[in-house]
Amino acid sequence: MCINLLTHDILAQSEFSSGILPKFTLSSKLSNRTKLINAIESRQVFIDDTEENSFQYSYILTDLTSLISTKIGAHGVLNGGYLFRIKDDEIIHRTIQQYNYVQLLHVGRIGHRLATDQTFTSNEAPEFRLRYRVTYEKPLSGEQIDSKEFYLKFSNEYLGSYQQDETDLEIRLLPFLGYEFNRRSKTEFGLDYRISNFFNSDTKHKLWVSIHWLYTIDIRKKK
Amino acid sequence: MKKIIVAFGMFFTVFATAQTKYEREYRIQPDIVPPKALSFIDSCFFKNTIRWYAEESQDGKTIEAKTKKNRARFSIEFDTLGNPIDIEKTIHFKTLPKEIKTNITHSLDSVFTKYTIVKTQIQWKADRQTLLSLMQEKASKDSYTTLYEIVIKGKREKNYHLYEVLIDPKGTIIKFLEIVQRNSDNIQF
Repeated sequence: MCINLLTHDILAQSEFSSGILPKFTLSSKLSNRTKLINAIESRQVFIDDTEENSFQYSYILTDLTSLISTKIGAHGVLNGGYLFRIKDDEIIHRTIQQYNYVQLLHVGRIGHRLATDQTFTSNEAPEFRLRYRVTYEKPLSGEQIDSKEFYLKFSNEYLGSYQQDETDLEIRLLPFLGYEFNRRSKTEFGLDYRISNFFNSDTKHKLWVSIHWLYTIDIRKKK
Repeated sequence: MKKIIVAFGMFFTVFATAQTKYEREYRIQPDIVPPKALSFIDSCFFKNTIRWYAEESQDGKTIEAKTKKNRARFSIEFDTLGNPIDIEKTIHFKTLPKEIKTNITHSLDSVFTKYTIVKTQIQWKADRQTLLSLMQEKASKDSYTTLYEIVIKGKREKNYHLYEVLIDPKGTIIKFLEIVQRNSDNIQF
């Protein structure tokens, strides 16, 4: 049994790619309970061992996302929206539904995200995904994160997908270091490691270096 | 008499409007803590690690020591000269005496349509010697003030928010603050 597993591991073809994921998120407060979220994210690869020349820069895609976010109770949030992906000459459409729940702890907080999305392109069958992410955020000074303070953030996400009778599971691990400039602006820097294609012999490993800037504006009418 | 006290408490609660809670807390090292605060903590015989914080809020700047004793969380607040202001101990609301629970519940019922108690702290305010006696679990001849600081997830005007309510054993609301939660975009998107 052990020899079998070992042989399988050695013979298994695994793919590895790595690059950067810069992202900017703008959150606009529309009312006390509603926000409009707009985000732009780009993917650029530096290492891809499926290519002849593994170490080579290549721009992959850009995602533009818009979500409407509504608070449900004191800790829950419902989000729904649309992602527009530009990948070479191809345009990809994705509809998104999310439920978030934030638990306040004595030190830090935990966020749960349950989401579904549906991806549509002109040359592939639609893809349906169900995903769950848990995030723990911990201040590096004090019991809560205040302005001009660093914090740590760890996320773990599980994504199940279904496309034309094929299923897959992707697991993501995301350790980040964050800095809160003030209540409106924060930045996060860290790794986004993704492993997928477990059920096939060619397991895919992706390691992204992510930098994310989040900014909030308040466009509510002043009373 | 009891009814008058409850009515008095409710009168206050009706007029209680929630201000926003502003607080900034950051860790400090013991070497910058005022000596009077250090000696007070030494006299309390805490066995667990003491964590020191500076806190800036609408009430000004204070120094705070946080630790655990007999599995309970304690927070001892000092002014910047090291004089103790109050001691807070985290407790379970259900462990309060029945009469106090009833008084507090009546007050909260008049303010919120629905609510859940998230956290309860008993707060003692007194002079240094009396606070020290309370921490050493000795009987004190001097009087001291007991208040309750309660964090509530409550519904008012159709919306749920978090609130911090400082309330006395008779149910009179002393302070009523809305806790502005940090933006959670970074754990959602």
